[in-house]
Amino acid sequence: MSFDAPLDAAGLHLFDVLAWRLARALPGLRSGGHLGRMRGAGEIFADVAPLLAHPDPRRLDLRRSISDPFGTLSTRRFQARTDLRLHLLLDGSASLAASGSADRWGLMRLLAAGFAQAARRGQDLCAASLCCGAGIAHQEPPSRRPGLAQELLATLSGLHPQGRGIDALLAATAELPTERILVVLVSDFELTPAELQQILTALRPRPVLPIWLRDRALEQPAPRFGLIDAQDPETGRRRTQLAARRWAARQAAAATAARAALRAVFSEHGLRPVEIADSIEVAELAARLDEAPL
Amino acid sequence: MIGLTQPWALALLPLAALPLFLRWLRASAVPRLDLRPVDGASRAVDHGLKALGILGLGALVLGLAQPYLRGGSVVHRGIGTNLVLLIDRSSSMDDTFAGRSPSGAEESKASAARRILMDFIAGRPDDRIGIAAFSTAPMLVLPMTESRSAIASAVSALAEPGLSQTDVGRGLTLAMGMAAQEAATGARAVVLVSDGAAVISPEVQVMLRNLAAQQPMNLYWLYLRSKGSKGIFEQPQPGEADTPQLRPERHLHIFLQSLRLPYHAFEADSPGAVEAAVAEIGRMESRPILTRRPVPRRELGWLCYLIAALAAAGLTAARALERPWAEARVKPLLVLP
Repeated sequence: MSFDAPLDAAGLHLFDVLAWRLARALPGLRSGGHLGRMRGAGEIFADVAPLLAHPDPRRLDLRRSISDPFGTLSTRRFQARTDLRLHLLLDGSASLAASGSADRWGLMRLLAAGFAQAARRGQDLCAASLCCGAGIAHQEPPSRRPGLAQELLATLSGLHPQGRGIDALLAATAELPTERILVVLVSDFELTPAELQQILTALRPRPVLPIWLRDRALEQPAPRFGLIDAQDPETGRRRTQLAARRWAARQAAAATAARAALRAVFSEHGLRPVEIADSIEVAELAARLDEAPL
Repeated sequence: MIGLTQPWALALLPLAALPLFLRWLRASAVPRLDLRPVDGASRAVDHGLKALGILGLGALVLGLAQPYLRGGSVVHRGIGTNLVLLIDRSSSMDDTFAGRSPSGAEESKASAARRILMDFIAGRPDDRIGIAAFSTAPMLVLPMTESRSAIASAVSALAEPGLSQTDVGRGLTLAMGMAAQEAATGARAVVLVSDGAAVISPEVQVMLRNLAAQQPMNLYWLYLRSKGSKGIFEQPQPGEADTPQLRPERHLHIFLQSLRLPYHAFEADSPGAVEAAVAEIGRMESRPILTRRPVPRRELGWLCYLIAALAAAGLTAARALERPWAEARVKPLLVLP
C-alpha cells in the first residue's frame, strides 16, 4: 500500500515507531529515554555504593550488607535515564530539486517532521537547521513543544531547495553542542568524497545518523536513444548528452562508483548511512535506525 | 569578389551569437553534472548544436543581405583566332549559285553562306569574331567580340536584301583595319565572302598595302562563283581582254596575292563547296589564343538560405530526439506495508 499524500499532520503518527539508541551513556540530569551517566532511579542496575555515599535506604542491598565483614551498609545504584537533543541537519541545496523517480525535497520535509514527531514521543529535544548552499535558510531552536512536527512541515513547505556547496552545513555544524546530541544529517549526498569528509570531520565527535536520499532514476538513466540537455541545478551549467545504451551503462557505473566512494568515507568515520531510495518505508527505516551505529 | 544588395541586413548579424547564450533543448535537472562522465560524442553534439544555431542564424542574415558574386570576365586559353568576317551584301548574293532568284527549296548564296558561317561559328567557341559587310559602302556590323549570341545575331541580321554595288576595296580596308586594331593576342584573319569583285581604286590599294605592312594577318577569300561566271584562277585565253574592269575577280585575286600576306582563295560553286572551304579555313586558323570569357553576376542568396534550411533541419531533428535525463515518474513518498 502506498501513501501518496502524507504531508499533513495526520500522517505523522506513522513515525512514532522511530527510536534511536546511543551506544554510550550521556551526561545530564533531565530525565529522558536514553541511558545516562548519572546514577539514580532507573531500571538498569549500575553498581553498589556505601549507604553513606549514596544515602538511599530504599535500595539497600540486604545480601551485600549482611555479608560484608565490616558491616558496611550498601545500596544499589541504577543508571539514570536522560534526554538528548535530536538535531536535524537538513541539506537543502539546489540539487535536491532534481527529480526522477523520487521527490527528494518532499522526502526531506516528511523525514524532518517525522523525526520531530518521534523525538517528542521519545521525550527528546528536537532542533533543525535547513542549510541551503552558503546560507542557513531556516533554524528551529531546540524544543519539545507539541505541534513542532506540524510546524516544521508547514515551514519547510514554504521553502525550496537552493544554493550550492556545503558552507552552510559547516557553519551549522560549528554551532552544535558536542554533548547530548544526535545529529541526523539528511542529504542527497551529491558530494565529492572530499566534501563529505569535510562535513563528517566537522561533526566529530557527535554521534551522526546520516540519511541518504536517493533517486534511482537519476542514478540509472534509461538507455533510450536521444539528446538530453542536462542542467546542474546548483551551478546552472548545461551540457548536451547523446544518450544511448552504452552511455546509460556508463552513467550507471559512474553513479555506482561514486556511491561506493562515499560509503567508504562513511565507513572511515564508523558510520553507515540509512539509504532511502525513492520512497520511505517506515518499518524498514525503524529497523535501520535500530541497527545504526550511533 | 562578393557584393551585397542589402548590406543593412548585416546589422542583424550579432543575432547569430544567440545560440551561445540560449539553449536549443529543454533543460533536464541533473545534480552534480561535474561529477558525471562525459563522452566525446556528447561533447561533439553539444558543440555541434551551438554551431548549427550560429550557422543557421548567420546564413539567414547573410541571405537577407542578398550576396552575389560580381560578374566580369576571365582570361581563357583556347584554340582559335581573331577573325573578321567581311561579307558581300550586294544584291547578286541573293541569287542562287545558278545565277537566278531562289525558288522552292533552292538556297541563295547569302543564305547558304549565313547557314554555313553560323555552323562554323558555333563550332569555334574560342574565336573572337568581328563582322563587316559591304555593298555600295562598307558597314561595321559587329566589332570584335567573344559573345556568341551577338555574333549569331549579327550573322542573322545579314538576311536583309542586299544593295546593287560591290565596293570590295573599302570593305577590305574596314575589315583589315578592324583586325589590325584588335589589341588582343593571337593570330588575326580576315575572311572575305563574296560572289564578285570590283575595281579597287589606286588610293584604296595604297591604304590596303599600308595596312598589310602594319599588321600581319591571314587573308582568305571565299569566292562564291555563280554559274557561267569566270573563275578567279582561270587564265585569260590568248587574245582575250584581261583588264580589272572585265575580270575584276581575277585582278582582285592578283592584288591580294601581291599584299605579301598569307593568302588563300577558295572558289565554291555550291553550298557543299562552301562548307568544304570554310572547314579548310577552320583547320588553318586553329591556333592557341587568349580570349576573355564573360562571367555573369551570380546570386548567392539561395546558397545562404539552403545552409540556413539545413541548419534548421538539423536543429529540428535534435528537438525530435530530445528526451529527459529521467522520466518523471515520481514514486509516493511513503510506502506502507
